[in-house]
Amino acid sequence: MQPKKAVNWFALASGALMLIVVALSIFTPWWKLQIGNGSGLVTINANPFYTNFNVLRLNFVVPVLFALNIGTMVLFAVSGVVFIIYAVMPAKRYSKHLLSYGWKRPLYTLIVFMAVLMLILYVAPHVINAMSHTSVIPVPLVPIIGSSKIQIPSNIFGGGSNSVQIGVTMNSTFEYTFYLAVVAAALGIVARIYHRRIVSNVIIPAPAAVTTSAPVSTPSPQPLQ
Amino acid sequence: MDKVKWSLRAITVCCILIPLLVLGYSCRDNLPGLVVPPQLQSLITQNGQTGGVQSLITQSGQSNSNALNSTLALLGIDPNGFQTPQLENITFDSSTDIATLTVNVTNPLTDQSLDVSNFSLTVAYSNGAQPVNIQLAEPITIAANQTGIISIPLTSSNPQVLQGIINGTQSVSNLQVSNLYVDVNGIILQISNPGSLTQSGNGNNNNSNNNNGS
Repeated sequence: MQPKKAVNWFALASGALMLIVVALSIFTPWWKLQIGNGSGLVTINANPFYTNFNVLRLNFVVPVLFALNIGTMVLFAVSGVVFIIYAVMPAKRYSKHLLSYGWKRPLYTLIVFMAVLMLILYVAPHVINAMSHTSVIPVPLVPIIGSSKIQIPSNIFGGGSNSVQIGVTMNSTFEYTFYLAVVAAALGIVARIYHRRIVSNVIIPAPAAVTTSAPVSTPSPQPLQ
Repeated sequence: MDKVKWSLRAITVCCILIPLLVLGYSCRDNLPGLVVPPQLQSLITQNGQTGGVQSLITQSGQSNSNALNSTLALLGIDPNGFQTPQLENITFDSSTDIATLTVNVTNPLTDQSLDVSNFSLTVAYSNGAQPVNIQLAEPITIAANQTGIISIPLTSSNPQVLQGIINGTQSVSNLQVSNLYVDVNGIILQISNPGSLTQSGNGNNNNSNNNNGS
């Protein structure tokens, strides 16, 4: 009778979700800021995999950001594949490395993404205001989620008796791809916890037994370089 | 087992470094190209200029105007679309107390409609009479790239005064306009003292906005 093959289903779901998130994020950002009503005169699509700016429907991409995005995208996809490989072979001796590589990726990506967003929206305005000894830039720059009206300071226009003021309606929101990434990260954490249970339930064959049954697959010991 | 561990680390380093190195190599002769979007660079270079942003700024006369027009066109803005709205007619419906301005307008945005969701102002006579608020009765949408006549319905806190202004029974000389508030596509413009309104000629439809304040 064949022993039941152990599969870490949480890791499998997380890995598959990571690949789905990568694919969907090309078209849907994680966080979107619309400046102006309706379809937005200016739209900022923030995404660890494809960050771009849309001005009157003309798309702008910052090259250095794009290069980082490509790197993150490939890394995320590779992590997803590695996590899936781990999920179907959780009891192998090298699986702990695959697990360690896979489960952290969505979590770290989320943490870095949120940290950068907070840095731009909350910390940077504080720093600029402190350096200029004024409170020209509102803190936060825009709310991380929700609608708001940002008043451009009147002293930018020179003041005067007319007191021209320009306000801009902004709307920021997290898109569903962000929440999918959160689910992928949560499943990764659960998969990490579930791994202990799998390891404790599966009897790993001794190395000697492996050597006798399958001598071809076992490499001869190499001297340390 | 260390092979797996080190292989994964190597993949991580390669994934981060290779795109950056490729970008650095491709921009080795154009360092601003690392941060300036290529779309922006192409907007500038399509105008037959070779010196980047600085040359666009320092260009003067006709060539600079052509460059600006090309850039606006690529951004979806018709350079010839910036035209002052022409007032065609004003009517007042006493049954609804709504004044309707018929205006010939052009939307210079070729892909984006203009949504005027709010418009209000306060008018006051210089003789100290009670100020009157005039506001938009309902939002207006000017379709993308549209040139044509639209109707602007206006209501007032004092319809009799509004009717008097439109029908010419009330003098509009030295009519002070204040608290102008316009919301177009979420961009809100507020001017506390835009100027005064005067009437030229004797007809009902010859009002002109003499903005001497700004």
